[in-house]
Amino acid sequence: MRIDKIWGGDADARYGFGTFASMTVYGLAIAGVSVGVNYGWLKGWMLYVAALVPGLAIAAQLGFTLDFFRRADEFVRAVMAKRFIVAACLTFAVWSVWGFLETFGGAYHLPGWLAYATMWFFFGIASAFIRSSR
Amino acid sequence: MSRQAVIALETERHDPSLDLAYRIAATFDRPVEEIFENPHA
Repeated sequence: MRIDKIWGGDADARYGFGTFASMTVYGLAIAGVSVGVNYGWLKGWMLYVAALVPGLAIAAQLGFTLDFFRRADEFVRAVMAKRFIVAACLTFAVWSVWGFLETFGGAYHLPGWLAYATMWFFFGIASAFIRSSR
Repeated sequence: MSRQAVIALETERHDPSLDLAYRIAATFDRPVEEIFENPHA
């Protein structure tokens, strides 16, 4: 992947590089916080600051995704937007149902940071079915 | 314009915008109506 393609007009290269970089930060942050908490290095205000890192990585990844939408042609933009909206709606629905079950039904607690992975899981499922911009 | 967009147009999975329809018509040097059927005609 050439750097001039990433910072030039190539939507795929920019999205690929951005997603790889931001998700690497996301993975390292989760691993770092996990190790830091287990060994007692991270506590108090440092834990709050560390918790912001995965959030910022997700915001950056969403930014690269929206940039890809903007740079793609009208068909790809329309189809991706449809898939993204369906995936977001399914994620809201599933997490709301699970939240109610947790609060009122004693269901097992799921960590909220799984929500982002859930959204991309549903995006993958939606991609298999949403093939038209109509 | 992407390969996916061309295939989607050919298989009627995408209605082109006015801008894209005119650009395609200009590429083939044909009137728009000759390439895309008017659904309201």
